[in-house]
Amino acid sequence: MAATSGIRMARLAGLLAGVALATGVILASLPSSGGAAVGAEVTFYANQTGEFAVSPPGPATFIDDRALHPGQTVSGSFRIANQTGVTKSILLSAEPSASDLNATLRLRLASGGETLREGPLDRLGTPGGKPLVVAPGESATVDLAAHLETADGDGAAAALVQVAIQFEAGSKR
Amino acid sequence: MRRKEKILLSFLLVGVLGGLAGLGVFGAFSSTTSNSNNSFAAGTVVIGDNDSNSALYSVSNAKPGQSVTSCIKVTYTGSLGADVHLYTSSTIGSLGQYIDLTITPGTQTGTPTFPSCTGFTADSGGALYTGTLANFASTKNSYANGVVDYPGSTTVWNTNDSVVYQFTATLQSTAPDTAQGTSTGSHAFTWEARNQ
Repeated sequence: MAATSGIRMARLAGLLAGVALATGVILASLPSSGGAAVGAEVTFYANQTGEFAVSPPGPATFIDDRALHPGQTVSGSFRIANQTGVTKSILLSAEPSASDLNATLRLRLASGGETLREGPLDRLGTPGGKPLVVAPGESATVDLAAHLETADGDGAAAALVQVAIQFEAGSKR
Repeated sequence: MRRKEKILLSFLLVGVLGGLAGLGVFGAFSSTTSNSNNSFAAGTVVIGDNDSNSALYSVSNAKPGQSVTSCIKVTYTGSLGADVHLYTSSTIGSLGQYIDLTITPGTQTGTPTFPSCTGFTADSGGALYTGTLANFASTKNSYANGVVDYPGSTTVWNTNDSVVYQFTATLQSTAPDTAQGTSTGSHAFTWEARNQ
């Protein structure tokens, strides 16, 4: 009776040892998940037109951040010169190459400390905001700050977005 | 439980555990590679000028010998290398035969302000066209026969290239009395870019 009970205990112990061994082997074989997010690659440029010379002229970039993480802000500026014979009232817009950061990349466009436009990328696709007024032969500096919202989490990790700053000009008599 | 059943159960248990272990072992040695971010995007051909829809010249009540000189800056911002031809598709009025036209490419220092030629320097090649306005309209009236020009000594317009064109239009001092009160009519000059 006692011998039979001992054999059963030994078998049970063997079974548990086998299961534990198999579980350990499986867990050890799982690939590790680690590595920090690389961050979003975000560039900004402004193409010149016949009416406006831009420095630096696109496709050269005035902001080039290869690893923008949620919570971070990147900034840069460009100059725009009015080559026409009339004062120009310029409205700015931002056109991204991809929609990955549309809701989470927040822009602020300003000149002389005055905000021209502000908001998430997907709200700046059409010309609007406060016009930038530039006299003939004169130029102005446009400052841009881009902030990646923290809510994006890992969503920004693989984003690669090029943003073109566009101009729409009207004459100001 | 009979002995035979115990043996079969043991084999089954060993098989299941071995299978699980094998799954993990083989999973560790799997490997993949990928080619991502594929795309196909068309280039652009974009050309513009700084006239802001104003005329290079608009002369009224002109007298023989009167001349006007203006400059226009043409900028290419397309991504594709391009050729640019200058022509007019306008119909020119009878005064066109007495209007001498000279078109000279060059550069301008600082920030040009249309239609000023302040700081203009002609390219070494000289004028692109010298002749009457009427002749220009009859011989340079399409892309095919338009005046071909490139920035400096290059043979292609690339992104952000620009050329300043100086236009000089003069009512000939020998214009006959029959020219009195006549006009060229409104006409336009066209710079057309096409990718190479």
